Amino acid sequence: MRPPAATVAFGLRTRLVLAFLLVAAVSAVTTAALTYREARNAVLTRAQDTAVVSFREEAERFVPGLPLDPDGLRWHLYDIAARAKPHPWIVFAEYGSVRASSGDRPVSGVLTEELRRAARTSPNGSFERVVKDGKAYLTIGMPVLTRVVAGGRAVPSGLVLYAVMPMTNEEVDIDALVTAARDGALPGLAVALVPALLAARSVLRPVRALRRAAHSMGGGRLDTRIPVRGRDEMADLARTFNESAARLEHSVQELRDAGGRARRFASDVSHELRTPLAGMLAVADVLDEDAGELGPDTARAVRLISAETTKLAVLVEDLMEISRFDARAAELTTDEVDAAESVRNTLSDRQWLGRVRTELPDGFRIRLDPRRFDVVVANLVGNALRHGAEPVTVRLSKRGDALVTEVRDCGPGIAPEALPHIFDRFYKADDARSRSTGSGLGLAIAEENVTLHGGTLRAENVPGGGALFTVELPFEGPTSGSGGPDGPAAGEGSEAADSRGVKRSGR
Amino acid sequence: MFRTRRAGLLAALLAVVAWGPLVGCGVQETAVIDAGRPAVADLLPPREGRMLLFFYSPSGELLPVPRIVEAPWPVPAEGADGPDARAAVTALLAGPDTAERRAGLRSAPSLPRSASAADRVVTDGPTVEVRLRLRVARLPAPARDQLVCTAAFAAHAQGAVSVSLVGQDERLAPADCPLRPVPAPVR
Amino acid sequence: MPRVLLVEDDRSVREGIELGLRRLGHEVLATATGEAGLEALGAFRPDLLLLDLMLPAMNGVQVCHRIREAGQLPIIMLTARGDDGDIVLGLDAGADDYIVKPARAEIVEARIRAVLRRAEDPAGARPPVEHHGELTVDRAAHTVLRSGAPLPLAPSELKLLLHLSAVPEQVFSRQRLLKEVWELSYHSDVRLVDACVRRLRIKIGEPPGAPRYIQTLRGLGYRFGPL
Repeated sequence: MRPPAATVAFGLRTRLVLAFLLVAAVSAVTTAALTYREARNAVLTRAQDTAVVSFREEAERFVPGLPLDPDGLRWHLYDIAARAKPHPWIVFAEYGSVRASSGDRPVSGVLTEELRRAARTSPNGSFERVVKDGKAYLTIGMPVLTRVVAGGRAVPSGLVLYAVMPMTNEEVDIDALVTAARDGALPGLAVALVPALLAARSVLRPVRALRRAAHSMGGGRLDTRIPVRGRDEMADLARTFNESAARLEHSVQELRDAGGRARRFASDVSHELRTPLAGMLAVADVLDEDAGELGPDTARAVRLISAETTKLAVLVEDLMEISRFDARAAELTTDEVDAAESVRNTLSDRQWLGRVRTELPDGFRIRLDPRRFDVVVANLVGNALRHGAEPVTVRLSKRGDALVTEVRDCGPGIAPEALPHIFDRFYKADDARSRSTGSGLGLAIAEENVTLHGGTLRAENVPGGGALFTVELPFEGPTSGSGGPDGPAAGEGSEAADSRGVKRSGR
Repeated sequence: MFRTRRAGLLAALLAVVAWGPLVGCGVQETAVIDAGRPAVADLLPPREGRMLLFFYSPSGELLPVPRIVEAPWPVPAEGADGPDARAAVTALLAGPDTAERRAGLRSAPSLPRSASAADRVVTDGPTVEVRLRLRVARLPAPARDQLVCTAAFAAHAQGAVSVSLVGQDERLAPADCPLRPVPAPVR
Repeated sequence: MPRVLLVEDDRSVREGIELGLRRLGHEVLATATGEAGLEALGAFRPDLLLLDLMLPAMNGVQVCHRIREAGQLPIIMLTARGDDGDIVLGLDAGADDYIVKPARAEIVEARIRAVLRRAEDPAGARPPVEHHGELTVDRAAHTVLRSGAPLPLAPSELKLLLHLSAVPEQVFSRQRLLKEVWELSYHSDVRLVDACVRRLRIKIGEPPGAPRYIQTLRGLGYRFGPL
């Protein structure tokens, strides 16, 4: 009753927890990522803006005058570089072909041609972040305009100042942000596991209840219901389940009632038939005896009535027997007998000893209901004699802790399509002999009797031709372990010589 | 199995969602971004102590180049035909001096190097007329601009005058210096 | 020919069996109720009673009891298969045999003859009177005395006792007893034997739980003695 392994490995609980964690992870990571981006941009923007503004201010304060003194230019650049904000920077100056810097090289390798072109041609300042050799730099290009007269309008002076500022601190800050985002998200996920498990539990509890209920219903307890709690989808499901269960129970009950009525009807019919039959059968002999004195037609009619009355009596008795099995009223009166002696008596009682070959080794003592075993053997042998061809063989043997009784004939065998139905009631394997001497219930009754003993009855065709019926009965008799749901009733007749009255279900 | 494959897909998606924003961590390069107004300062010596000539930088920009004059020369009255303008044009036609050449400044190649070519400068209202002993008709635009700007800024502090070049061959239409001073941004 | 009293409430069965038995030479008196049957006993003096178990007012088991109080008239019950509980009650009330309806008249006649047949002496050479403890078995007179007093035994009881005591200490399987005492088939109802043994033990005064004369051998059957 366990679900397949794959389903267990990826069960509902796992999926729920995973889904929960996924949602938590996505939101945590998204939040962290967005926060990180904002923070990073803020850090960078602040650093850049500070740098641009202070660079412009310092440039305006310490810019060298024109005409340019190439030798004094560096001192001005040192002044600007000394007031670097927020981080140290190196200042480069370009004027015509003059190059100077506050560093040890007059020309920077970090400044890009794009920035220099922009600084020369644009009336505004520009900046650019550059990553070189894994390090980030902020580079600012600042063209210097000069007023033509003091306080007047300005024209480009041709002097361009550049600042190159390593962004090491920002990189450190941003790395710290990443670490913080990661370190915040992972414990967050771990914490999310707890509500995930709780949520999975709350979802799974009704699911589990549903599974138990379904299992219970499958086991036949159709009155199983689930308590409905709350108003959520699970409650809807439980309600639907309960309604379906109620309808199913109702339908099954109707079916059972119908089946019970049908069985009772069959039983009642046979009962009602039996009384008139008893009268008819008592006088059947009278008819037979006096038939000779009647006219030929009347004699035939009378003999027909007599013969059919006998058959009818057999049919009604068989019907009654089947009804008792259906009503689970069939009673088993077991006794320990010699199997070979029992079979021999069955054959001799019916004058079959001459027609049946036997292999009946003595010494198989078995606990069974002799009358029912007699019925089984008689029905099987009778069936073989009627439908198969002689010789019919009855063989007793032992297999494990079971007595094997085989009845074999040498006829054409059973049609393959008939084989699965051979023990069905009134099943006629061959329409041509639909009106045989049997009641049509013989094999069904035999099977019921074998089942009542806790044994098995099989039919098959043997390779050499002919049908083989195999009965297996436990030597120990029907044990309580193999009993049906009713179980064996208390033994009756305790003083009897080891007879046990065992009431068992027919099926 | 389909289910396993789907789980794998889910994990991959999760990884992409999780690490996508974080992969671009650290400091990224940017393009060149406008950083607001330029630096503005008083780079030029006082008007009394300098001549403002216009030369080209090595990258081809027309730049105002101040040249200190030894003897302060009086600032001419407005509209006067002062020697200051003529001196500036004369100095321009003489070409950049040593220091200016060292800084990479130069005249347009088409501008003749003949200091004596400057005849006289006549200021007439908003127009300055520069008479040159040159043929001006075939003078290319860079050379004309140098002459126009130098004369305009000599004649007017902010260069806000039109300059008409008059050569031996013809008189050119009045032109403005392309280097227009812009209002200095307020701090 | 034996005189048979038939008590059967269903008219068709009653008439059928009556007709069948009469044709076979029996003198038959058929009554529809137990009360009528009991009344007819004195006048008709039957050799055997064919008694339907399911009767309207006074049922077969009660009739059986009433008759056993008075004497040892052989009784054969008429019953339907499936009325198992009633069969046990009837046998315990003293019936000697039972016939499952519907049955041919021939079958009924055979059962009647079997019940009425006197027990044959299986040994033949045994003395006519034997003493077994307090019991005196007189095979010639077909009587059994207990401490000198005659025991009122029904035909089946008497036959069973004579059969078992004829070969003391021999074990008889119940199937064998069915064949030899009741002249029934091997597969017949062993409860006939069990019920008969129960009645017999009570009549010969066996102590409950520890029978001396008729002993049970589990899984094998019954034997007489050893004392």
